[in-house]
Amino acid sequence: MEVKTALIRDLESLLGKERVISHPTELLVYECDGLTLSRHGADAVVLPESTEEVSRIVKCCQGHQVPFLARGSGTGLSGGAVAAEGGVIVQMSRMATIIEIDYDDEVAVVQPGVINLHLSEATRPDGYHYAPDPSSQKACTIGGNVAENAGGPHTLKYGVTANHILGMTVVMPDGEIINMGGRHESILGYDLVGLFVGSEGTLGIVTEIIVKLTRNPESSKTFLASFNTVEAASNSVSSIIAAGIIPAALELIDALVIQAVESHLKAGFPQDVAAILLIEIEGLNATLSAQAGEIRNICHTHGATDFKEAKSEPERAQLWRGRKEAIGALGKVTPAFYTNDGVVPRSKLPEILEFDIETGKRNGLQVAHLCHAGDGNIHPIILYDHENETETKAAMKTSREILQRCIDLGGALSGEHGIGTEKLTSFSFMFNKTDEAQMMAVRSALSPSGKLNPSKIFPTGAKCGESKIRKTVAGGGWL
Amino acid sequence: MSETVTSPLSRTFHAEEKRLLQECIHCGFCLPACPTYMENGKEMDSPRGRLHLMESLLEGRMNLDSAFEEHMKLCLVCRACETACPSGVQFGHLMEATRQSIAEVKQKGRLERFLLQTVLPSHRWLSFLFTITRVIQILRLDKLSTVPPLSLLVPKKLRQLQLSLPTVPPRRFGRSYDVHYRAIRKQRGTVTLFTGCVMDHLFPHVHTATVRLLTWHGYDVTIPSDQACCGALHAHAGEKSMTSFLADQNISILDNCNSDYIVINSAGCGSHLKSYLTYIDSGISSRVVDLSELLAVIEMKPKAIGPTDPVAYDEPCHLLHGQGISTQPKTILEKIPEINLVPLKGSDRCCGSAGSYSITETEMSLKLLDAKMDDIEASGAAIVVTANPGCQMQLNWGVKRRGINVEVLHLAELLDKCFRIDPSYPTDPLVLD
Ligand SMILES: Cc1cc2nc3c(=O)[nH]c(=O)nc-3n(C[C@H](O)[C@H](O)[C@H](O)COP(=O)(O)OP(=O)(O)OC[C@H]3O[C@@H](n4cnc5c(N)ncnc54)[C@H](O)[C@@H]3O)c2cc1C
Ligand code: SF4
Ligand code: SF4
Repeated sequence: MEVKTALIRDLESLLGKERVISHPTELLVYECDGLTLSRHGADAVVLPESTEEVSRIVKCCQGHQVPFLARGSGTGLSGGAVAAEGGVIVQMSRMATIIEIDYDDEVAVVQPGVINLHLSEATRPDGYHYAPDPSSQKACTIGGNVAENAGGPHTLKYGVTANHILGMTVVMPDGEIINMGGRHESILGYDLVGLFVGSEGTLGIVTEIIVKLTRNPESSKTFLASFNTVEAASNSVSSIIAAGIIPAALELIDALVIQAVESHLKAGFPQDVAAILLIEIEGLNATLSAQAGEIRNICHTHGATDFKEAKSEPERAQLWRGRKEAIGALGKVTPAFYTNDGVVPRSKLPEILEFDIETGKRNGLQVAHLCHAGDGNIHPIILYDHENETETKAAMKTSREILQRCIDLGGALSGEHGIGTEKLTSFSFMFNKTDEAQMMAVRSALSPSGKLNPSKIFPTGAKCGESKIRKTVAGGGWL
Repeated sequence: MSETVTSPLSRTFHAEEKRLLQECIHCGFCLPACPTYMENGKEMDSPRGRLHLMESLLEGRMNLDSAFEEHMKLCLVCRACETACPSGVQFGHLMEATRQSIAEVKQKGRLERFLLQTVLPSHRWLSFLFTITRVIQILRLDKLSTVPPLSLLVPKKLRQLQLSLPTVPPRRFGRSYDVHYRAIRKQRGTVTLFTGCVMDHLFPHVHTATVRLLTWHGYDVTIPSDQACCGALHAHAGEKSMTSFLADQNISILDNCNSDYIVINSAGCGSHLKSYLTYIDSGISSRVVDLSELLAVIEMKPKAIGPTDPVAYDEPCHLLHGQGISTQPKTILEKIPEINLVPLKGSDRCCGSAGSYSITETEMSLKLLDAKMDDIEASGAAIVVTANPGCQMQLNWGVKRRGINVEVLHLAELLDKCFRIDPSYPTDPLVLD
């Protein structure tokens, strides 16, 4: 039965009944994001259509002293878009308009609910695109990308989301509307945009974003190199970068993933190999051939068994589809998987990959790899059966051990998926008490009531701790 | 999955369905592909949300309440989510199983029940009702029924249905006896044409065009009498017994035809005959082809229709997502000399027709139709091509509502038009008895 609280009634009078979801059955679908391991129920979900409405919602939540947070497409993999302490989810899907595209200034102004890929689709015919391309780009929102500082295969050349955000309009935790940054890079004053990008929705709700548009490259080439050992592939990665080449993308995919992709998506990956590299280079026609030759030589030196170029746009698109949707295909070969987002310095790639596989073996599990190798973002995927409690625990143990090793090797906890609720307990691996206190000070200054997206990033709050392991999850999510 | 309580879904969710449900990894890739989610932005009206609700109901975490029912009903079963899903989730199948469970405990509206149980399975009823409609149309009473006092007498859904119908032709295509047409040029093979229900009564000219095209390109065509409605709408609505009754009836007839192919020019029927288990098990499905699959591989020389009219192709969901057919119709269109094919934004998005959806979920259906018409107007197309009777009706209705000058044609009609410029092309296909 639905009991309407004062909060719900107030929200309904702000937005109308149709835009306030409070029925317990309907709220169930908002209990998790891409990470189904961690589930928390919200009290209401609201669908604002303007910055002003978001501001009014925020003030209403503060008035009722309930937690609140924004949600984009819920493709996040760290439990960021769930109401960890209950409260109100501000669903941004109805703020999905591309407000302005300005090719003279090479910027676009968008609402946060715009799907990442839709912006590139709108501008590509005119010779531009939006460069950050997380594998989830056909579904995730630009607002969610800003919150998570999302990266993708082409981050290697173009940088992460932070490098492409010029300004934004934000509803602060007290409901005040502020503008930061602008259409041009500015070095005056505090870099608030820099602070907000990657803050995982804990400092304010973004309602308008000014992004950079990137010119489409004059031309590009995509290669597929095959190797008989994972080590040979990862050594090639290190050598390519060491040779001073910066490919647009450099991805490593191991045999377990290849099998899954080929049995389901048929991307044209070679079978019977230990690993492949998907390499893309972009630039002026004139320089590409020389670079291509150099990369080919490096791969062959490290023992590549095959090296071929995608001959047509459909072939290239098919290879990328295989890469970007690999995780879905992997879902078909294992009851569940858990992905971790550790990063290591590139030179440590061969070492960490070997460690992952060994650690998995020691814990009785298989570990697959789908890495943004060029960035040292390793993305080990731990395969397990969620109905088997021992395996589930072993998966968590494996993940923790790998993360610890990443940090020991001079890397980081998270390359792109954020900390959310998922990595709360691992937070202390990376930051000491002083670091944490500094960050908390920033958060408290901007969000004194602590009602905006609580229990995220920092291991504070009533319900912190490792996410509850449920029997019914379909698996962690991933890249 | 532990089940302490028997869920209302457990009758139609067997081990296989449960396994299929588990294949969803909750990635959300399907969200932007879903017309209902893109329209209202609610997770419950997204594929992932609907699967989440199914799972929750199965686990006994909620009841089969009106909220659950509402979100399942609002699904178009357009299966765009299947095309988008990297994990191969068979959403259409799971939705049909869910609706079956719902149908077992909740009764449908009277009009919907009457249409599904009585009208669609019977050519007599169809003829009777369409004849009345034809009279109403000739006397122009359909317009009258929208103004008081008649509008007060006729239920709103019926009025909507009436307005959206095209001009009803004098008679249906099928006969009470089997009809055979002989190949005109070099014999390529034999086909059986599946005539369906609405297609047979409202679009006989599309069937005629289809027969002319097939015979011209070397196929003997058989039209068996007593073919029934394929049952797709019944399956979507969860009407299990009627679905299998209709399948059995069609199988008994189609099984007797020794043709190489069973040709279907209605995407919805084709998708159902290819994927419904009873049809698959009978061996019928493996012979079913969409008309475009057959014609795309034939070398043909249609004449130009006039180089100026911009033509757009709007992909029927059950062709694109249901059967994975997308290049074939385009290949065929490109064979028309000097054709001015224009891109249509959102051509892969449902027009809101979706079988009986326009009657049961009129509000959402009209929103989707409006979005479609905006895109059609923006494309500048003078001719919109489709390959499914439901879409053709819906798009026609959209054109009528807007009062714009756009012609909606079935692919077979357009192609047939191009051939008819050739004097040796038959006006009447050769009948054999
Ligand atoms: C298969 C798959 C592949 C993926 N691949 C990648 C990848 O390659 N690279 C990568 O970086 N990530 C990847 N992700 C993770 C995820 O897609 C990104 O984190 C993405 O940025 C989340 O966007 P979203 O719209 O889904 O946000 P949500 O999941 O809805 O929200 C994520 C966080 O952002 C906050 N938020 C959302 N909107 C706003 C707003 N308007 N204002 C303030 N805060 C907001 C939420 O509160 C939450 O904390 C992948 C996910 C999946 C399922
Ligand atoms: S795309 Fe497929 S796997 Fe992903 S949420 Fe949708 S149905 Fe589930
Ligand atoms: S079948 Fe169509 S309407 Fe239904 S969930 Fe899938 S995409 Fe949405």
